[in-house]
Amino acid sequence: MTATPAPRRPAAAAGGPRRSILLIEDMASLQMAYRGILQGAGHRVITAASAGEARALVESARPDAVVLDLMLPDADGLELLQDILRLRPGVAVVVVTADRSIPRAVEAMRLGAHDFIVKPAEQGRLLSSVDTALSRGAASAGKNEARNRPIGMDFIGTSPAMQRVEATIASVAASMATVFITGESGTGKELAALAVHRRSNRANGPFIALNCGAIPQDLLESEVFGHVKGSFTGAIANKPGAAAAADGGTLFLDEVCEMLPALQTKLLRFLQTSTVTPVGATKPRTVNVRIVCATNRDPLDAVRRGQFREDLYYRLFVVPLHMPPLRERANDMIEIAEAALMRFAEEEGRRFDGLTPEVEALFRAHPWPGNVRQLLNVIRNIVVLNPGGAVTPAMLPDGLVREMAENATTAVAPAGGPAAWTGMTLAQIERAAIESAIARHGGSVPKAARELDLSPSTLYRKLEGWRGEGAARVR
Amino acid sequence: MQDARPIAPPTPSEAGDDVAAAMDRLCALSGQGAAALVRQIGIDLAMLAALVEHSPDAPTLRRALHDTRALAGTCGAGAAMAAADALRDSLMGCAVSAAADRAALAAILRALADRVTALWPR
Repeated sequence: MTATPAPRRPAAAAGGPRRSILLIEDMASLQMAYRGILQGAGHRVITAASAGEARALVESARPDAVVLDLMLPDADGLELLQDILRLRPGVAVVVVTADRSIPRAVEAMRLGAHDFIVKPAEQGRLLSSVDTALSRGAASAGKNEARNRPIGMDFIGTSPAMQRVEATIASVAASMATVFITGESGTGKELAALAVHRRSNRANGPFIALNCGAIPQDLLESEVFGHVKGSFTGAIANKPGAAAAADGGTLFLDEVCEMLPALQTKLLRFLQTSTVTPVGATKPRTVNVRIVCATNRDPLDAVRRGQFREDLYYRLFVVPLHMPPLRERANDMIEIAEAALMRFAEEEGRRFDGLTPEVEALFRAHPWPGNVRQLLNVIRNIVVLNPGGAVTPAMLPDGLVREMAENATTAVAPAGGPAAWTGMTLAQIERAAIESAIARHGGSVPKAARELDLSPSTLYRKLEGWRGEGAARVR
Repeated sequence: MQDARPIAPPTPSEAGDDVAAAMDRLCALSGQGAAALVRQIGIDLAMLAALVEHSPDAPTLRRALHDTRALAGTCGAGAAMAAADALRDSLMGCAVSAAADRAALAAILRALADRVTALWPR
C-alpha cells in the first residue's frame, strides 16, 4: 500500500466464482484498508476483529482463504492459526503482522501458514499472496490434508521401542479400555492417541483433543463438560463441551495431571457413569466416549504428591503406553529427519538432497530434549531459510548449534567413557568417538580430524561408509 | 510503568515521509468509503497516541507499538514508524520505556492524525 499500487483484478469478472476471504484484523482502519484492496480485486470479504469472532466465522462462513493479523486483543495469533487449521483443514492462511522477527515467521510457516507478510502490507504483495493461497486451496485439497497430517502419522522408524508401541496400539485399539500415554514432551503422545482412535471401530466418530494444561483451570470444566447459556458471566450461548462433542468417538485429555482436584472428581464421575452435566445444567446427558489421556509427568509420582486422585489414576491407568524419547530411537532419527525434509521441501517448493554425513553424525550425537517435535522444527527451519541442496552443518539453526556445543563440552567423550563402552565393539567405540568429536566442533570435520590426529579425508570416508550401514548404527 | 534509561527522543521529522501519496492510494482503494476511512484512521491514530503515552504495562505498550508501526506505515509516515521501532527496541531491552519517548511518539501520532484529516478531502 505504501509502494506500487497493483491494478485491480476483479476475480469474479474473470469468470471464476467469487471466493470468500476471512480478514482477521482488530484495528478498524487497517481492516477497512485491507478490505478495500481485496474487494477491489473482486473477492468476497468477511471480517473479524477478534479471535473469538474469527473462530465462529471459520466454522460458519467456511472461507476459502484467511488473512490473519498475528497481534489480536484476545489471543495469540499463532494459537488462532492452529485453531483455524484444525477447524478448517486445508484452508490457506496468509499471516500479516508488523512483527518482523524471523522466529515468529518460521513458527507461523511451521504451523502451516501459507505466507507471511510484514506490515505495512504492500497492495500487490497482499493480492498476489491471497491469489496464490486461493489457487492452492482449490487445487490441492487432498494435498492439504496430507500437509496437516503430522509427519510420523504411521510412526516412522523400526526401533524395538517403536515396535512395542505399535504392537500395544494394535492390541488395544479395538477395545474400550482407557489408554494412558506417558512420555516426554514432543515424543508423539497425541499421535499415538490418534492412532488408537483411527484403528478402533470408532474411527468414523469424532476425535476430540483437549490440552488440560493449556486451558485456564476456571474454564476447563466448561471446556470438558460444556455449559448452558447464562450459567456464568460470558456464557452467552449453550456450549456442548468436549465430552459431548466426542460422543461416539474418542476424547483425548492431554496433560491430564494438570487438572485441579475438583475437576478430577467430576471426571471420575463421568468415567463411572458415562454421563455429563454441563455447568449450570440440571439434567445429565449420557454419552458414549472412549478416553485416552496423556501426561509428560510420572502419574504415580503425582498421586504420591497428592496432586492426582489415586482412584482416578487407577480408573485411567488401564493400558499404559510409553512413548520413547528420540534419543533412544537413534536408528529412527535419521529416517524421520529425511522424511520430514522431503515433505517440507515439497510443501515449500524446494529441492533438498538429504543430510550430509556430518549432519547425520551431529543429529545422532544430540540428545534432542524436545524430541521429534524439536527435530521437525529444525528441519522446517532449514527448509524455510535455505534454498536447497544437501543439508550441511552450516544450515543448522544457531540455537541448535549452541545446544550441541554446550552438550559436547559437558559430555564425557566418547559416549560416557570406558564404563559406557561395555558390550560395544572397537568399531562402535571408534564411531562414537568420532561422532562425539564432530559434535564438539559444531559439525566441523576438519577440526574434529585435527583433534583426533587423523586426516579429514579419513573421517569423510568413514562417515560415508557409515551412511550406508542403515540399521547397524552406533549409539 | 516505571521509567527506564531514556533513549534519544525521536525527532518528529517529515523528511522521507510519503503521507500525501499514501493517503491518495488508500482513498482511491476505498472509493466512496474514503471519507469514512480517513475518519477512522484519525480515530485510530488518536487512540494509539493515548495508548502509547499512557500504557499501564509493557504488553499493552508492545501491542500499541505493533499497531502504530502497521498504521503509520500504511499512512506512509516514516518518522512515526521509526519512532515506534525505536521505542519497541528499547522496550525489548528493558521491559519499560521512558515517558519522554512515549510522549514524543504520541505527539507525532497526533500530528499525523491532524495531517491525514487535513489532506482529505482535497
